[in-house]
Amino acid sequence: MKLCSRKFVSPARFLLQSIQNRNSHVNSEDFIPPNLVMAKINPLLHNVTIQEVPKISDKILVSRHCVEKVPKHKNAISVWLDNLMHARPQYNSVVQLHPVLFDAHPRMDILHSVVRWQQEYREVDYSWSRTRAEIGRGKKKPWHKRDWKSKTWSSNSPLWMKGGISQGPRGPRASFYELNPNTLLDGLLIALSIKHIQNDLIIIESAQISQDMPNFDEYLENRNLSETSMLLVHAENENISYLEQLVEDSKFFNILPLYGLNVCSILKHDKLVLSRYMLDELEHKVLWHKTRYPWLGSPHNFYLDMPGQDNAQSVDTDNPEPIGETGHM
Amino acid sequence: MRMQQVFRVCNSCRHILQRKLIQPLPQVSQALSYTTEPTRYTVSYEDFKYVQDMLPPSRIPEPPTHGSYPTPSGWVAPSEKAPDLPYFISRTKFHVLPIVEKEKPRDQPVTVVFYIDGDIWALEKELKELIRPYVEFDPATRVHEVTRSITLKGHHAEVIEKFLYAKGF
Repeated sequence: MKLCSRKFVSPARFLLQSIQNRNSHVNSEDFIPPNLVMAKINPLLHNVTIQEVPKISDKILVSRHCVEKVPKHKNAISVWLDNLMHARPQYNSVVQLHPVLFDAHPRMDILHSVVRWQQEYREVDYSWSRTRAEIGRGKKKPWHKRDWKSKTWSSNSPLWMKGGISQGPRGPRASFYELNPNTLLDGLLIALSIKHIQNDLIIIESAQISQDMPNFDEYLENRNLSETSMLLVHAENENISYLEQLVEDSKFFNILPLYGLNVCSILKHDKLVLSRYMLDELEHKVLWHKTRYPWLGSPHNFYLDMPGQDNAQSVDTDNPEPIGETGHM
Repeated sequence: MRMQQVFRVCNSCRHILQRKLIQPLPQVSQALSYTTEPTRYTVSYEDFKYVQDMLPPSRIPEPPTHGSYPTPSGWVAPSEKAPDLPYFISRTKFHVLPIVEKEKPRDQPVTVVFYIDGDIWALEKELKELIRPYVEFDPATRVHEVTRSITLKGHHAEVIEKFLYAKGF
């Protein structure tokens, strides 16, 4: 009678066989590790055909070049240009992005400090506990000497139940602090770079769309974006009234003007959608601050060419008001 | 009798006259007074050009092209194309090499080279050999990949500058 039908295998050979069996699936083309998480798409659960994005060759039309000078050792980044009006992505033209913005060295410590600052600087802790003086029960001595009890002078002592708290929180306490503006700027650039590296960046022609736009759900389905959260950043001079109406009740789609761009919003949304018109302004602003002299004083009125200063007292010397103008104070 | 009547009329006239004087005085003409009338001013931008000359430039300009390098101060312009090496060292925003000499606490002179892209370890190897003749013991270096910098023990800024200028950074 055979107790087991297996052949005898030496321990070394058994070990080798087990290793080979464990890793044999890795070489097959259909292998997907079970702990892989792709943005809202788990290929084991959803039957999703991942569309291939064509490679960018040199012959494709470049519809936007970098405004500012590109560093010598880096090349401008080319990214496909999409359009909200097209139902399917037509890979026609390409947009060039500045490497200082979208290819920054990913410093996680800077990113963490910026995110932490954004969440903390607005916080005010309103907790307040009463001290023994504020309990409001008076100064009466509970019992006098001669009782067979411990010494007491006040029933509000922190040792007593319902007494005052000696080292507790005392009133509104703000956790406001300021981070170095250069750190904040670097944090923003790192967030943008991360979005680009992880293929979460979409550049669209413009946020100004008319009513001829195709069905929005169809648009999202064709790009596998049905359940991904998107943040659309547009320039100030774009008319987004129709887009706002479309997207008003959507939980997944948020619209933001350029001056509201911040690290927490970028990281919170799965995809970042940038309008082509705001890229020039963003590039100019970032590189102005990267290549400026250190501030002599707070930049309130004499940096006349500082980008983004709408309330500055600007003197238009090219078109001055007529000389001799009279007025009354 | 007549005198009394005249006196009575004069008295009543006086009261009437007094009553009129209690009323406010008439307004002085506007052309003359400068306390009640709002101040006049003229706006002119003719002299603003003198202020503009004094205002500082905001953005750091590109350095002018000199005839020969090094310039009298010892500065050398970076080459127009990136050198064909596994690493690259970009200049600071003031167009100067990113080398800093520091004195760490308790007698620790140190040189830091930063803004390094590419293969830092290849650069570290080269810098180590560069510094060996100037150092008593084995040259001590620290590569910090997160901040993209190399820290070298001792003050070696001049030697490293010469080396990097020669490479074209």
